[in-house]
Amino acid sequence: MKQKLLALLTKNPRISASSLAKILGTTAAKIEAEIQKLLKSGEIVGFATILNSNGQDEITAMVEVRVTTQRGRGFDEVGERLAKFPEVVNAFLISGSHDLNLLVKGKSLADVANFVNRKVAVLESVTGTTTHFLLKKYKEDGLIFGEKVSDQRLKVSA
Amino acid sequence: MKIPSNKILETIPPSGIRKFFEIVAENPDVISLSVGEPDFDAPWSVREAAIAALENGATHYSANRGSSELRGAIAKYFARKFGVAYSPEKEILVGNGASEIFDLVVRSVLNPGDEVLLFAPSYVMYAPLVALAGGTPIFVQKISEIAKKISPKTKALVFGYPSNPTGATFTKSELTKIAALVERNNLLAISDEIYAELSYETKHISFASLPKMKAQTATISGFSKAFAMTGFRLGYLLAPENLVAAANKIHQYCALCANSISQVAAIEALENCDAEVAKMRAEYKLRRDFCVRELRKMGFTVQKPAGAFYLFPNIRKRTGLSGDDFALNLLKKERVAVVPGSAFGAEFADHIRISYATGLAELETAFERMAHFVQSLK
Ligand SMILES: Cc1ncc(COP(=O)(O)O)c(C=O)c1O
Repeated sequence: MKQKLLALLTKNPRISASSLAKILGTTAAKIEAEIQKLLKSGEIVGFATILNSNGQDEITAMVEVRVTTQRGRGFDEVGERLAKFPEVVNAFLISGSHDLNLLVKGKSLADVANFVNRKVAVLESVTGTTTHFLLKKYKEDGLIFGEKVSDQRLKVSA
Repeated sequence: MKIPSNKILETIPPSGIRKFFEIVAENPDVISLSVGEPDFDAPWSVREAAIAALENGATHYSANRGSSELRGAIAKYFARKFGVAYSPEKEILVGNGASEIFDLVVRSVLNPGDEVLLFAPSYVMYAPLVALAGGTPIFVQKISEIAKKISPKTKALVFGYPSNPTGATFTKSELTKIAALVERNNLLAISDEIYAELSYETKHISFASLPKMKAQTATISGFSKAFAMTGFRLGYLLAPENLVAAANKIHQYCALCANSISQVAAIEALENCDAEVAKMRAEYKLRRDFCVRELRKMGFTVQKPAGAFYLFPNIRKRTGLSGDDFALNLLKKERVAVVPGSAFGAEFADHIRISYATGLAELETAFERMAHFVQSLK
């Protein structure tokens, strides 16, 4: 039940407990309890709403961050610190040419640039940053932007 | 001038499904549970392969039997999934859907007056195509009826499993019984296994994998259901060399070859889409369980179907209505379309066919409406 519940919630976080109960053959109360349990244990971190904010009143940038680690100070310290800023939407530690990959949002180019200069680049263990401004989104969290195609099937077929 | 007409064709009634289609088309807000094809689009990698095929100039005829690459991929796939080995050169024919393949097989083997045993209820194409090929369809509902209906004129036994419209499949012991009858009476088994990959709890057993059966079986399958590739129009025949040669003789004159672009895309489906198929299968299974539970809550007796995406409940016992009346009133009052059982034969007039090739959210609304309708009956 847990796996199926997680799959259904991932596909549609707005699905009601009563719908989930019908689909999974249980009661809405049990579904609610299970969701609360998963939230408490941290298996579900939260529910997000994906806006189609392609280039409107919001600037997004991918920021590559290079980090030196010192004794007693791993990547986690920098990563967790940067993650606390509300401007940082995603923060990933990755392999390859740089170490941390941030998705940063702001109201203007200057806003984002200021944030990177004043909050990220100045950290002692940060040795460099590269900022890529986002031009267009095609897909986010498994959801494709653009026109929804309606059901093209004949309404009745053998 | 009076256009001449074929005497056999005149005896064949128009499809009961088509008749219903016209009423549904007039009601835009209808939720249709009467669609016999997946609601999923074909996997993107398959569509991408088709685009690439066009770019690379796959705009020509292929070999009559299908490209050798596709026949090779079909042989590998069938051996991997169902453990039966077929020769790509001699025992495989690719055609325009399982539909064309079935037509080719019955036209290859029947002479006027020959009888063909068909399971009822079954997919709507079998009986008309048998009749057009000069054969006489004889219906059986159970395996135990087969022996009684066999005559010296019986040439073939047709069955499809998992079944459209019931979703039922055959167990190993049922298949063994059918195989014994096929062997004893020297029949050609025509086994439509297009829903094989949509088997939920049990692994599909291909009829040709039973001892001695490969030599007397025409296995029909295709890409429409498991791979959600209905519009690609591609199916195939796996059969003994001489039957494939005979079917190909008709195919080369009436179709020449199957769509070349689709053939390229189909290789991608067979070789790289196990995960996509598994995802769709899991979703169908979830929906099936939901539908069965909801129908039982309404007071219907339903068996959990083993495969495909259909349910075929008897609705007379619970509602007193015929399938036609149930379907018509459900459509008019609650805007939910199901197919009346009569489309699958007069004996099934008390049934309806429900297809769950529709998303869960829509299914939920449809079953709420149906429950409301059933409640209103008394
Ligand atoms: C049992 C069965 N066989 C064959 C077909 C037709 O398949 P194709 O699209 O390959 O012609 C269908 C389609 O509904 C079917 O249900």
